[in-house]
Amino acid sequence: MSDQNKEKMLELLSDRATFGLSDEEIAELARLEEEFPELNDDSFELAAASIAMLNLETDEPMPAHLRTKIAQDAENYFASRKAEAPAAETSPEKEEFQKTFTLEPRKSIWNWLGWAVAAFACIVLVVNIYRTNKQFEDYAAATTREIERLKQQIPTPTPPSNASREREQLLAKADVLQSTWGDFDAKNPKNIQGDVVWSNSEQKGFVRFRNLPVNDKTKEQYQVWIFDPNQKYPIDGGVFDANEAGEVVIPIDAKIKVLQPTMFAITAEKPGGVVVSPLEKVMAVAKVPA
Amino acid sequence: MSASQEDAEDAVQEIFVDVWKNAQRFDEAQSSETTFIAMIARRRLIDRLRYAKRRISTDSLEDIAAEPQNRADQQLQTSIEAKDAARALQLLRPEQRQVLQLSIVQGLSHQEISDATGIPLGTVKTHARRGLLQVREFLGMSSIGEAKGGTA
Repeated sequence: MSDQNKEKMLELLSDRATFGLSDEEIAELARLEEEFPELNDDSFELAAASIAMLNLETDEPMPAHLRTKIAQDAENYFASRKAEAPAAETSPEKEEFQKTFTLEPRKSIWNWLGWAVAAFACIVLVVNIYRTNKQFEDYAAATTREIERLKQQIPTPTPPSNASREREQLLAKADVLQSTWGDFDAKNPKNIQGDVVWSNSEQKGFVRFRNLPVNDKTKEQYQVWIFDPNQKYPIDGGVFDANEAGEVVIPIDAKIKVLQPTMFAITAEKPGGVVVSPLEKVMAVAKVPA
Repeated sequence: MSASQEDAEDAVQEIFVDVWKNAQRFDEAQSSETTFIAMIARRRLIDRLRYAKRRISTDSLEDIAAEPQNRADQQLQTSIEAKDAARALQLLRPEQRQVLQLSIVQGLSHQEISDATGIPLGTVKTHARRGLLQVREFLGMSSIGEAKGGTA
C-alpha cells in the first residue's frame, strides 16, 4: 500500500507540473504529502518550467502601466507584512469608506516619475534577491526603504501664497459648495476644524484647516481625496504639508474633472502620497450637503 | 496561456506577489532564478486556467500535434537550463517528447492531447510522467532519487 501511495504521489506531482490538479487531486496530494514528506519538492515543476522556457519570448518589454501596478502591489504587500498594528475598530461609516477607498493611479508627472522609478527599483530588487540569495525579510526591508527614499525625492507642490485671497474670490461663485470638516472616527476624535470649498464650474477648490497637526514631511504628508459617484475611485486632490501653526489654506489639485463631489477626505500618507491608501490615518471628512 | 491582455496583466501581478511570498524557498543549488520564477509563473497560470475553466482553442490541434518535434532547437533559449531541457527532450522517446511539448509548451490538457494524437488518455499521462522524470533527472533537479526507479 505504501509503494502504491508513493507511486500515486509521484503521479500527482507529475500531473501538477504538466496539467494541474483538480480539487480532489489536490486534497489527495496533501494527504500523501503527510505520508511522504521527503517526496514533496518542486523538482517536477522546475523540470516543467525548464521545458516551458524553450518557447519563451523575451523581447517584449513590460508595459509601463503594469510596472506601476506591480510597484503598487509591492508597496501594499510589504506594508502588510510590516504592519503590526492591531486592526482598527470599524463602524458602518468606516467600512463604507474603506470599501470605496481604493485610490486611482496618480497622474502628475512627478508622481508618475516617482512610481516609474519605484517600479524599476522593485524589479531590480526582485532580481537582486535571487542573485544574492538574501533572506526574505532583508528583501522586504530593502524594498520598503528604497520606495521610501524614492518618494522623498518627489517634490511637494508649494501652495501659492495668495490661496486665502483666491479662496475668498471663489466663494463668490454661484455654484460653490462649502462643507466643514468632521471626524471620521468618532471614537478617536482629532478635532480638526475648517472647511472645504469647491466650484464645479471653475474646477477649483480649497481646503482650510485649524488644528491640523504640523507634519514631518520626511515621514508623512497629507493627501486630499474627492468622492464623486461618477468615478469608480476617489479622485486624488493632491498632497500638502501643514507647516504652519495657524490656519492653513491649500488649493485642491484635482487630477481629473470632478462632476459631482459628495465628500472630501484628508488622509495622512507616506511622503509623496499613495496610490492605495492603507487608511491608517484618516484625519477628517467633509460631506457635501445633498 | 492567458486569454487576453487584461488577463495576462492580472496574472503577472499575481505572479509577482507569489514570487515575493515564495522568495525564501528559492534554492540556487536546485535551479536558476529564471527557472524558479518560471515555475511559480506556470503554477499560477495553471491555477488560473483551471479556475476559469478556459482551454486553449482546439481548432488546430492536429496542426499543433504535427509540429516538428525538435522545435525546441529553433527557440530562443533563455537559460542554461532551457538549453539542457532541450537536450533532455531529445533523449526522450518521441511519444514522450511529443506529449511534454503539447502539455507544457502548448498548454493542452490530457484529453486534448489524446484527441489530437489518438494516444489513449492513460497513456498520455504515463508518457508525460516518465518523460518528466527523465528530464528532471537529466537536469539534476531531483532530490528524491530513491523514488525514481519504480516509476520510469
